Amino acid sequence: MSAYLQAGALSRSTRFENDLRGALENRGFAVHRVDWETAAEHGWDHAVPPAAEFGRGSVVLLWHPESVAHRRDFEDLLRQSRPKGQEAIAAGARLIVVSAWPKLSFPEPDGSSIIADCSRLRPISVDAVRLRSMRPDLEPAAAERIVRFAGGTVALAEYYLELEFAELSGNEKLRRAGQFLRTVLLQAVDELGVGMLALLDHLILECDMLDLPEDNLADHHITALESACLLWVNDLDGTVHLFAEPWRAEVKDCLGSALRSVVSPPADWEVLARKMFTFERTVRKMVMEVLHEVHGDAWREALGDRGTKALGLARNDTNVSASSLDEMYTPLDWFLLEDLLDLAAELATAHGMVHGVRVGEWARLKVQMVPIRNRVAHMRLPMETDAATVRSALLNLEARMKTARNGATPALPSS
Amino acid sequence: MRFDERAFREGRIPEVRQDKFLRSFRLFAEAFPTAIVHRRALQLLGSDIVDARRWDGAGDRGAWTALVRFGQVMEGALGLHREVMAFYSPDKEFQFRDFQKLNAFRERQPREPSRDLYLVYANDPLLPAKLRDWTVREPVNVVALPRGEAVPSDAPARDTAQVLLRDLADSIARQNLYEETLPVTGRDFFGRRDLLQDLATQLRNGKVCGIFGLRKTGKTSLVKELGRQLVMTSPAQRIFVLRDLEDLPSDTGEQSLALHMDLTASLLPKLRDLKLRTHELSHLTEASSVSEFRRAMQAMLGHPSSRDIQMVVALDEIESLIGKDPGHSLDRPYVPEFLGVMRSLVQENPNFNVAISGLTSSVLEAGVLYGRENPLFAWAKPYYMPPLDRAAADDLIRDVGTRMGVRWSDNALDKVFALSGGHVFLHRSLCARIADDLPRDLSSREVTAQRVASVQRSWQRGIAEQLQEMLSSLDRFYPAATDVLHLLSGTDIGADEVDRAYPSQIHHLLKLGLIDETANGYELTAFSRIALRK
Repeated sequence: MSAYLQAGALSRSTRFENDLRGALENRGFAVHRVDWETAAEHGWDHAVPPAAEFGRGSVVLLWHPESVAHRRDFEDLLRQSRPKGQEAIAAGARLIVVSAWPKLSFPEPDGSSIIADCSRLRPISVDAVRLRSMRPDLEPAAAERIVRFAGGTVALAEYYLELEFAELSGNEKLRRAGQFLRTVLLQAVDELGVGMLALLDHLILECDMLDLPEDNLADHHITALESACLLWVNDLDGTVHLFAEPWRAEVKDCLGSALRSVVSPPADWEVLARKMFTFERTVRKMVMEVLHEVHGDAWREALGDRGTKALGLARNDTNVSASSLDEMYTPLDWFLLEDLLDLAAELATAHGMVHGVRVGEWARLKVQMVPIRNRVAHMRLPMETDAATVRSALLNLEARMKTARNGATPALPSS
Repeated sequence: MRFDERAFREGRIPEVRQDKFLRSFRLFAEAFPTAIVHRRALQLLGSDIVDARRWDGAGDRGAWTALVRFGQVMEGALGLHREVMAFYSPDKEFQFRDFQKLNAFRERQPREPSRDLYLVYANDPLLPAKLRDWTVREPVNVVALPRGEAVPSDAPARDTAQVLLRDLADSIARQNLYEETLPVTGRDFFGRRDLLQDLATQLRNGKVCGIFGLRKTGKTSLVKELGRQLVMTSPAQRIFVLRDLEDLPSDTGEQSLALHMDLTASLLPKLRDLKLRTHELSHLTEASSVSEFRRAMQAMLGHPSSRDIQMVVALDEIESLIGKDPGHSLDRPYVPEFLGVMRSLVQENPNFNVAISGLTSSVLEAGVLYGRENPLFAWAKPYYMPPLDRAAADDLIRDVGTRMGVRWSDNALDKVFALSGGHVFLHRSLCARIADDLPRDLSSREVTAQRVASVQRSWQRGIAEQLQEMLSSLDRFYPAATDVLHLLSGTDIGADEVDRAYPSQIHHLLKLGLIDETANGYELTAFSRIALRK
């Protein structure tokens, strides 16, 4: 059996490792912690005892693989972890990968990785009964209050419980609780990684959505956020809820703070930018070919107000001396993408299609691609699906252009 | 499951009365008087003890084993179709080391009993708790036989029968055998018979094969099962070595050496077992080149002692060796060199063959690898992992379910197959999810279509990350095919158009089980629909 424990900031007690070890040892397991730094420096054969030493009654904790994520050979380490992990499992041991990161934050190595094989362990939820078993002198009402404000999370419940019995004024307790909440939320959000941060940016800061239908979120996002204790699923009505109610006042500020600290481009940004470049210039090429085919040398006249707008942009940005569109040779280079796609749609309306792409498709491309283009242009974090969307759209256009070149469909249908 | 003495009479085992057994049982009962109560209890359950043996080896003195044969009712309810071994320990405290010996005792029985279930007796009040704890960590069921005194009355036997029935049912209901993360072989390997047959024939005919498919489609299981069947037919004349390439070192400079040295290390013990020539191979050192490895292999394969031996080397997780961009990179020249050595050994030695498995088929389909011609290009035959067909999918569910006391309605099987499309990971994970939710009471472990539907959402969420990882690995090694998959799923592009523009990508998508061809074009398979959430 292999499992992944996403031990994010909200799930970790102050003595997390001791608590985890203790819980396993109380169940009769012999616990072996394996450090990734040791594997990285000395190899997996050194870091993991021979399988014969495990066998029954063992739990192997692969401890915080993200500690070596900065290494160039990190993917190789992930790949090499799998045979050793499988040997231990085959010998009867249980294997738990413990990490603060969501599972999907880890890169895909050339082979498989032990992380990819793992099933998910759900985070522990603290309830009033559990709290009162830890502190029998805790009043039931206070226990309920703590659980509600902690959202059932271990880190907050532990701190609030401590505060409950601290010799401090009510205001001071409130102040410290608020401060701790903010610290932990910042850490929890930071641990999610850039991809999830982009999603939360979109949902919360752009769309103001903290409660939404489950179908509006991809399952793997639900899983990652749920494991981070930042999302709850209501299976009865099919809704999901981000950030427990008592935290929501802090959320936007925490998110904003986390986003502001991101200065390096995500791994897939370069691919996205390149594909976006190719997509937009491909559309320009397609539109130009049709403009030439229909209007000949008078193609600039067909640009209308959009052409004038392009001229204005060019003159603002450069030293171009053109005083009219007639003197511009690449006016489409100054078109906003939405204007370019609108122009393509108009041409498709007037002539049936443009290189096999009909007006409806141009409209759909506008809805899909303009927000992505804006994210790239404004150096905002890309959404997880952006690169795939652009690649797919580009493939679609290339397929149409190939068909047109092969003569099956002309750039424009013959009238 | 209730204890109803009359119900258990149906199909009960006739009481064993042979003299030899009765003499043995008498001695058994002298050592363990409670065995009389146990036997009576088993008889009330329509079953019986059919064999009893004493063990006097070092450390075993005074231990007995008994074989229990279950009657029809117990067989059907608990899925027990083999005899079960009961171990009787004379110690007052049952030790973990005794627990560890159970399998060894099982192997010494006159007829092979079940390896899924053991019964244990010791006069240790903590025995049930110990067994529960130890079997949390074990893939087997071990149930404590109740303690008690032999008295001339059926009452204790009835009580014992009730307790035993309850504990057996609970033990069987507790496990979830649909969950499986390691490769499976033998009775746990289902379907793909045609593919196995095909591969075995190809290997026998000296043809190198490649087996490709997405993550978690059962490639390693298939290769291991292929090896097991190959060796099983003629253990004294067959050698099968599976080399998992995932543990190749990170440093590409060390990979070349690791390739042939690790293969040599895997081969040598098997060659020695069959008393074959190992002289040249055992003299290879860390300074040996791949050419020296080739010469050593040639010397071994060409030696008279090896002539009648069939050797197959299976290279698994081939993408760990090939990498994701072998057509454009130049940093692993040893890759085509090593594959060239493998090809020449196969061509020159009818007693040697190679099977390759993994995610990427570029090892057979790319014309150039790392700046050199690919020696396997258009020479070896690629196979792709098919999903389980309906019959095999149902067999898996029912067979494994029987061992867990789970019964499936036909509608439930329809529903599961509709959701999984026979994709092995989807199939097993869905069944595991359903089994997790079933009550412990064996009489209530019936799965209907409604029960399947009730867990569908939570199942999809539970596997979402693994599906995303599978898509990521598809993108890594088949980026163009991934793009076309998104194109097909997200636009209304015509089948003709996409066929013309992207024929090889469509080929890969079909072979990898991501799309199906229909009369109207292409449609997403069950896996793609769930993974892409369509």
